[in-house]
Amino acid sequence: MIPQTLKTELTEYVKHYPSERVGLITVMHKLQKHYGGWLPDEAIAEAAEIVGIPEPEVEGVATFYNWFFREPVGRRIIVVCDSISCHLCGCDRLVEHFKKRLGIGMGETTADGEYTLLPVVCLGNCDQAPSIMIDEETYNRVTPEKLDEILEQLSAESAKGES
Amino acid sequence: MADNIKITVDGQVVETSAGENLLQACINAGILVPHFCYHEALGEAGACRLCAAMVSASADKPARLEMTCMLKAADGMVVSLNDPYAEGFRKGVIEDLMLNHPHDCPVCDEGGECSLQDMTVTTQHIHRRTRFPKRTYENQYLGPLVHHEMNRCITCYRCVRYYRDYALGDDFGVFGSRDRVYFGRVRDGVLQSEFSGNLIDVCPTGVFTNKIFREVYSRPWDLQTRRSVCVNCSVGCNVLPAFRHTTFRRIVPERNDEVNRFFMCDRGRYGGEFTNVPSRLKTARFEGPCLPVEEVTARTAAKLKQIAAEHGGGAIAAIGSPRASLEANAALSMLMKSLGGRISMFANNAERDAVRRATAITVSGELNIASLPEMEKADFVLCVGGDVTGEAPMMDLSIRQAQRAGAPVFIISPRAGKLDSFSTNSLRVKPGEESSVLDHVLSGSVPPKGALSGEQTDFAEALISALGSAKHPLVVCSVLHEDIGVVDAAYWLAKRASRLDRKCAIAFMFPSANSVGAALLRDDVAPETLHADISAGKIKALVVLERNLALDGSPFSDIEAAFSKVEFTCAIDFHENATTQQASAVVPCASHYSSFGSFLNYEGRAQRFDSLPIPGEWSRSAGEMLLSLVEATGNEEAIGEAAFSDVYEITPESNTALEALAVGDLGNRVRLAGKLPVAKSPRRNLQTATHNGLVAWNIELCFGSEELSMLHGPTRELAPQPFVELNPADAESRKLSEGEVADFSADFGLVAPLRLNANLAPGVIAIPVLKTETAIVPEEVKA
Ligand code: SF4
Ligand code: SF4
Ligand code: FES
Ligand code: FES
Repeated sequence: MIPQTLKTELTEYVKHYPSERVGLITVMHKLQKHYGGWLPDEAIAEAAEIVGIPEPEVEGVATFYNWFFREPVGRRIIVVCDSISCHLCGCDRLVEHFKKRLGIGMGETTADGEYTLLPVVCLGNCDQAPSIMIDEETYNRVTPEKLDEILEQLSAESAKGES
Repeated sequence: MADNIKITVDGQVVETSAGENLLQACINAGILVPHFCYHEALGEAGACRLCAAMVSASADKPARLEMTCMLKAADGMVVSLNDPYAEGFRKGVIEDLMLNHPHDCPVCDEGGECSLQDMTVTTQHIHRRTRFPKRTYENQYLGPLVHHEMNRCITCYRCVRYYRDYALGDDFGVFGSRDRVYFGRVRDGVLQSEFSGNLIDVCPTGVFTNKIFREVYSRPWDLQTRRSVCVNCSVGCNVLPAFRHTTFRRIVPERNDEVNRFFMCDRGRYGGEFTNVPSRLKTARFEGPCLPVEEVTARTAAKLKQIAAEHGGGAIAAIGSPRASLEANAALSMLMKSLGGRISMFANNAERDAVRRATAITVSGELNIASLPEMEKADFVLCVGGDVTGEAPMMDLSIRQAQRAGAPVFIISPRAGKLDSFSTNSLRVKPGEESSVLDHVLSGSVPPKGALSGEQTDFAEALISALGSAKHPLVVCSVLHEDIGVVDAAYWLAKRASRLDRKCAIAFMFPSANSVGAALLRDDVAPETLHADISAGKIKALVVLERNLALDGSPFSDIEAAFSKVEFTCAIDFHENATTQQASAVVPCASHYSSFGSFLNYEGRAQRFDSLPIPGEWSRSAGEMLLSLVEATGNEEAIGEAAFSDVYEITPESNTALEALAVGDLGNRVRLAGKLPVAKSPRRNLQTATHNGLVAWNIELCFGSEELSMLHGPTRELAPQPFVELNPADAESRKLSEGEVADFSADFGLVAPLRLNANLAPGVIAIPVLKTETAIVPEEVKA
C-alpha cells in the first residue's frame, strides 16, 4: 500500500493532463521508485485506480517497456546491448566478464541485491559498440578492463553513500 | 449511397463503392484475400501483414506491395494478389508465424476450422527451416467457458480488439512486447464479459476454444448442423447448433445481417446444453406406466373427448408457452378449438398485459422497431426499467457500439446494470417511478414543485436536451418486469420524440424467445381467470405445453395443489420437471435445437428454425405431437386448411409471408391486422406493493434468470448463489450489514445473504431471479 500523501500527489498530478491516462508512465515510475525499483501486483492496481483505467492496460504498459520491472531487481540495473553491432563488437565477452566479476548471468541479481543484469536490443550507440547502460548512464566501447573500472567506481560510490 | 467504382483484382473487374476497405471489397466479390487481423466487425489493424498484394492506383502507374486491408478502394485501382513477389511475401509471413506456432494440428481443437491451417496450406509453406526451440507460454484459467492455449497465438490482436475495444470488457488485455506478447487476463480468473465466447470465433487460430465442446471433441467436418434461432431470449440470434450422431455438441453464431451478424452472447452459445440434459424425456406416460407415444396420444385424446362430452368444452383448458414455436402454440390452440376449450399463454395477468401491450406497439408498424444493426447506429439511447445485459444480452452489445460511436446513453431503472458503467446519465428510481420522470420529459414543461426530486429533474432536463439534438434516437424498454405503465411511458416518449425530420426507434425486451408470438394468439385467456376456474374445480382437463409452471412466476406455481383440482392433466415437454412429474399424462417432444418451427423475436421478426431428424419417437417437435393429438380427437380436416391467421392476430400478408418463410431467411416482421390497442395517454403504473418500507425488484441475470440455460451445462456455474440487495442507507436503518444472512421471509419469502449496493434505489429490495431447479432424473434413466 502506498501512503496517502503519495496517492494524493499522484492523483493531483494526473489531473493536469487533458486525459488522465497520459500521466500513466510517470505515475508508474513514481510507484516503482516507492516500491524499491519494481512494481508488485498491488502497484498495478494502484496505478489503475489513480489514473482511472482498467488494470490490464496498466499491466500491458508495465510489461511492454524495458524499464518497468514486475519482479524484484537489484539496486542498480545493468543492461548490455546484444543487438547486431554490439554482438559483432564482442558484447558476449562483457557478459562473460560480468559473470566472472559479479557471479550473475543474464536475468540474474547479485546475492547482495546490488546489481541485476539484463539484455537490451540496441541502445542507439551502434557506432560506439559495444554499449551498455547502468541505471541512467551509458558507457560506450566497453572492454572488460573498462568494466572493471566502472564497477570499482560504482562500488566506491555506494560505499560513500552508505558511510 | 457511395459512388460505385471499378477496380481490377487479378484481371477480374470488381464493382465496389469508393472508400470501401480494399480487402473487404475483394471478399465481397468472392475473391479470397488471405488475412488474419482484419475482421469485418473489428476493422483493420495492419498487424499480420498477410493481406499483402501488389497495388497500383491505375494500370499505367507502377505497382508496389501494400496491405490491402489498410487501403481504401479507389476507381481504377489495380490489385494483383497472384503477383509472384506478393505471393512470396505472404509465404514469408506464414513462415515467420510458424516459427513459434506449435505443430499440434492433429490434437488441436481448432483443426479443421483454423485460418492459420488454411493459410499455411494456401501459401504452401511446407518445410521448417529453423531448428531452435519454440517459444512457449503458460496458459490461464479463464472460467468454465473458454479454454486458453497461448502457444498457438499469431499476434493478430483480434482478441483484444474484440474484447476490449468492441465489447468494452475491462478484464482482458495484451501484455509484453516483441516475441513475448501475451493475450489474456492480468491473473487467472473467470472472464467477466457476457460475450466472451466470441473470442473463440474471432481468434483465427486455436488460442481460444470452446471448453465444453473440446471435452467431447469432434472434428468440425464430423458435425451435422442445421440453422436455428437461439431460444434463450427475445433477441432471436441466428445460430448453428451442431450434432454428432444424435448428441448435441455446440452452438456457433450464424450470420444474419439484420439480427446478430457476427456475434452472440454466452448465454446463447452455452445455454443450448439443455439439449443433453440427463432429465431428457424419452418415453410417454399415461396415468403411471410408460407406454408407446401413439398409445398415450390416443388415450389422451379419448380422455379429452370424454371430458368434453361429459362436462362441456368449458371444462377443458390449455397452457401454451412463450418459448414454444408459433406452430406448437397454434396446434395447441387448434386442439382447444376442436374440443371447445380455452388456451392461456402467460404466467400472470401483469405479464400478459405488459407483453400484449408491448407486442401491440411492436407489430403496429407505427414506430420503427430497431434491429440490432440499427441500434448500433443510434445517436441517442434511453434504456427504461430493466437491465439490458441480463434481459436481452445482444442488445447490450449493440448499445455499446452506439456508445463507442459517441451516442449518449441514458438509463432509468431501479438498479444499475453493467451498461450503467458506460452511461452518460443514470437515474435510480423505485420500480414504476420511471413513468413519472418520463412524463415530465413528455410534457416538456416544468413539473409542479416537489413532483420530482432535484436529481430526477436534472436527469429529465439532460435527457430532453440530448434527445433534442439526436437524429436517430432509440428507446429500449424492459417488459420482463411486467409493468405496463413503463411500457406505455416508453411508447409515448418514442412517439412524441418522432418528428417530421426524424423517427425515434423503440425496442422492447420481452421475457421469452417467442413472447411476441404468444401475445398475438387470438383467443388467449387471462391466466388469473383460468386459475380461478381451476381453483373453483371448473376445469376437468388441462394440457400444458413446454412450460414448467414451478419456475415461471405463475399463480400455478404450487403445481401439486393446482393439479389436484383437475381430473386429467397432460404435459408436453422435452425434459422431466416439476410440472411433468405432477401430470397424469406426459408426452415427450423434441427439445428446441432438435425441432423445427418459427419464433417472432422482439421486433416481431418471424424466423424459421430447422433441425436434424433424430430417430426416436420422443424426437418429434411439440407441434407435430400436438397435431397428432388433434388428429386423434377426430379433427384432421381442420389441420389441412389451417393458416397462421386463424389463430394469430396478423394480416393476410403476414400470413402469406410466414408461410413462405424459409430457414436462413433474414426473416420478416409480422404486422398486426387490427387497430393498435394502446392507451390514449400515458398511464400511471399500478402501485407496487410496499412491505416494511421496501418494494421488491427482480434482478434479471444473464446467467441464472433464464430457465433453459439453467437446466444444464456451464452456464449453471456462472449463476450466483441466492442473495438480496439493499441500498446501504436502508441496510443501516435496519441495522443490517454486508454479508449477513438477512431474514425477509415474512414480507418477501426469502432468507439470504445481504449485499449492499449503492447503485440500487433507496426503498428497494433487489432479489435475483434464479431459475435453478435441481435436475430431475426420469425413471427410465435411473433404471
Ligand atoms: S490470441 Fe488469437 S486473436 Fe488474439 S492475437 Fe493471438 S491469434 Fe490473434
Ligand atoms: S442475445 Fe439472446 S438470442 Fe442472442 S445469443 Fe444471447 S440469449 Fe440468444
Ligand atoms: S547494436 Fe548495440 S547500441 Fe545499437
Ligand atoms: S489483414 Fe491486413 S495486415 Fe492483417
